Amino acid sequence: MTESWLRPNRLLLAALGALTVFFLVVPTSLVIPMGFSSSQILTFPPPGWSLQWYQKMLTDPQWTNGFVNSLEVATLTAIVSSVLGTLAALGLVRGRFPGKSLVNGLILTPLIVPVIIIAIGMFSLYVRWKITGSLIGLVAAHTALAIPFVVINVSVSLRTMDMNLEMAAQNLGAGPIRTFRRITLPLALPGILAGALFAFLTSWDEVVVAIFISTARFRTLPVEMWEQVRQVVDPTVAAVATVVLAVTTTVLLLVFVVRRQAPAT
Amino acid sequence: MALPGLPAGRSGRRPRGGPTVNRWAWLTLPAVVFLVVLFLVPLVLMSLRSFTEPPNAGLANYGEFFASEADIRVLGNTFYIATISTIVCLVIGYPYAYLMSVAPPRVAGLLLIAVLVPFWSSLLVRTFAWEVILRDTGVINSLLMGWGIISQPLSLIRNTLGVILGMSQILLPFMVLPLYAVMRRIDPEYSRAAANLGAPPFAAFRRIFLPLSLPGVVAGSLLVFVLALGFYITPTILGSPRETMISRFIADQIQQRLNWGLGSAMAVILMILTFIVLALASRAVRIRDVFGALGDES
Amino acid sequence: MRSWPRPVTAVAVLALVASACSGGTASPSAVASVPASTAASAAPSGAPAADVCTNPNAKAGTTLTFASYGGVYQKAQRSAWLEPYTKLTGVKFVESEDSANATIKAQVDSGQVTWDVVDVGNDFGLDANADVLEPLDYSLIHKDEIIPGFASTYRIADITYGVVLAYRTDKVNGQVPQGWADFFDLKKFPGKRGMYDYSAGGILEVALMADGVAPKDLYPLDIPRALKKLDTIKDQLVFWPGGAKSQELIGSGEVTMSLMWNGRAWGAKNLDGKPVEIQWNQQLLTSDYFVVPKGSPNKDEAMKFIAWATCAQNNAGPSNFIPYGPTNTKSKAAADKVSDLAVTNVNATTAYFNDQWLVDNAKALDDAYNAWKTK
Repeated sequence: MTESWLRPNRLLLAALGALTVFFLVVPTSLVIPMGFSSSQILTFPPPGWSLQWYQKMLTDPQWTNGFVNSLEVATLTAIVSSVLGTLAALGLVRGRFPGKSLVNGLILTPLIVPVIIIAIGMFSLYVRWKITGSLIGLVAAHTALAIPFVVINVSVSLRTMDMNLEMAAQNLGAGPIRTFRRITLPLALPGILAGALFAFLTSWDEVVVAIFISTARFRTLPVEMWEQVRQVVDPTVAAVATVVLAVTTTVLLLVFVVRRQAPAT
Repeated sequence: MALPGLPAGRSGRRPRGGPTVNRWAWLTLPAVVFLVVLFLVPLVLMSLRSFTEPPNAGLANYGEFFASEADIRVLGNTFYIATISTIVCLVIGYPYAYLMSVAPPRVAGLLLIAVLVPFWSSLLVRTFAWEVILRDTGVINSLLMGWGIISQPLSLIRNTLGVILGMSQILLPFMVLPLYAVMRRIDPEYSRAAANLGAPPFAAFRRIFLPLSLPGVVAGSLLVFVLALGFYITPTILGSPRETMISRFIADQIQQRLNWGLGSAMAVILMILTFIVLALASRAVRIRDVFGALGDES
Repeated sequence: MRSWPRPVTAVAVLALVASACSGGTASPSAVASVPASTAASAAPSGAPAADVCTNPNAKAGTTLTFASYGGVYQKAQRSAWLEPYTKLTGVKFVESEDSANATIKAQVDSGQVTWDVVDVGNDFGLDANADVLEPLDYSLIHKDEIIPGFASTYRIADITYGVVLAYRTDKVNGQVPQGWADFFDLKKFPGKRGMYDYSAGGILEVALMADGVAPKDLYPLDIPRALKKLDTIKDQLVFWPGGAKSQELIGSGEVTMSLMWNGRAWGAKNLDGKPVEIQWNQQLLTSDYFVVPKGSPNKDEAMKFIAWATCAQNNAGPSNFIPYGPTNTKSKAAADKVSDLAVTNVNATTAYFNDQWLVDNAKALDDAYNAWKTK
């Protein structure tokens, strides 16, 4: 797709591109060296190197609890939203019913409504139901936020699937459930997995809703980080941020791998 | 790959005169119930609180908001920052998306990764990385002062500049992805045809490519603007109280002043404004395509 | 194709099991055994049971949520009080570092109180806040040993400290700021100023003092006058939300001077090794207080802990880690910190908060401050 008529400007374009990549990637990556700093406060460049903050992160129960909590919430969110989202995607792609565009819109609403509004809305009701500061409350909140991503990903997989395969299976005598289980589901799997991974990430990094739904007894890692950034300010937060980044990048790589394996693209 | 977004059902077999509701429809029920109960109902109830607290408030909270100079200022501030962030993202994002669409596949892939990793990285992490970079004793100022370029630190933080820098970096992927999704489908044959017919390169770009990319521009700008309106963490850490945006204001009303009436009224106002912006832009693009680009980055 | 749900289900089950085991309060195990004879041989009625200081008779296995102000202060409280108390009684602590009056109110309002012992500032805990606080258990607390006036129905002071002017010795051109007037003098002392982002935290008081108001004339606060004075340095103000941030701001040199809590300024100098000094003139001498939110799930245990922490032999514990003074008259602060205590550095210019006025005018104060802040 080379545009030969644009060649002279290509250098400029490439330079701009490189600058933008720098702008996108470098600021975030600075937290990595900050986590290895020997200084007592968050600073860059670090005056010296030390593993003390990683040690602190691994031994301080607040951080370890936060990590475990985040992992639990994100995993459960991924599972629940994958189930709900896959079903919904199937219904939207294959289904015909009045009000379909309404359902379509409802599914997308968590992406549109400003997150602070979602946070206070959920907080006001979940408090009454006494599910704040609990695994259930956080999973419920994050699942609502993650469902749109699952639906979008699974829908794409479903739409690009070759329907002839399903028709062939049915012509050979397979019932609808069998067809679904052995043809549709495996072909939709990349989309489902990608959606699940995005759902995991949505929960893993989510901070605003978590701030409102968490309590001292049950906090996720981002909430812990938010509190520490304002009240403690030592580089442990950078060490934690590095770990958070590492998990995020790993999950993203998984998504790429899953998508590459997609058979019906 | 097909166009991103939720489909309207071009999946091959067309049922002929079948039932108005087929069995697949029921599969949407669990998700719908879940979202209604755990997402919609909380929003509705909270909105109701804007009318019922203090008791029999009616529109009193809304009146209080619009009568307060400070509150209106915050709203205006929010729109201002959101607009500037959108423009910045467009200026940076358009050339980048264009580069992605013309680059050889491997380079395009790398550029895509460069956009996606920050997109999915923690907002909090990125924001306090920016704090360390922008503050008076931060990376930029230390470098510039160390090289003798300046003698006093530049004021890059606790002002609009700092907020916009941080927000733009975080919002950039939301501009690039829709732009890219549209640009890569623009058939290069059009531009080549224009060139063959004697059009100078820039004119070809301006008259062929640019208009064709406009839906992406609108989609990306709209997405960035709507998201920027709701930003909370970044303006709090990178801005001063003068840069308070409406989400922070709402959070303060609820958390610190415990004023649910006023807080939820402001939340309703923000929601209405968001929907208005989306409604206006839905005339130009299908909203579903805009948000569809988020999950489909292939 | 092999179905994938099975490993996923396993993970789900594991996650659910893990959450069931980790979440929620620990079930109280056997009560710490106290021989009946010890309890019976307690001091005669009129004086609180002497044994709370040596044996609080707390329920081992309880988990108390302790909320304070983070940073080196909370670290000191942890080392001096929380950890020894856990060792002594088996009561565990979960901590919050963002203590705030509004959070207490919000918890009580919503009916979901998760904080048990809260360290609050001097602007809270008076009778006006009775609707959100539990009355303290003075049958356990040694009230007669506490500095008069520092223990009341809903609150008891746990430490004394000062709101002071801290400055960078390397950024003041060899001069020493003498008081708040110098804080507001940008010509003589150029540079940014750190300030506590809290309407009742002293921001208005120091502005008035800088404008020439004598400590005894501070209250009722002339808010417009204070805000007008603050406008003169508004562009140079860097607001900090918590003590640790103030320590970072002055430690990194982001600000030349800052309003700070003296223990944090001490931390910047002695723990972080930064060129920071304190100007004790015109300090606002004050206290932090322990309160128990109304409806706290572990009210009785909270009371025991508070009584224990304010006992003569325990109260000065934090002074081993931070120069904050005890409120129990029989306690002696750590010898190496005595000269750094706020109470040791009192002079004719020392000012005091009027807690009653601050509580009574909390809303007006907050409204005015917020309106000014966002302008």
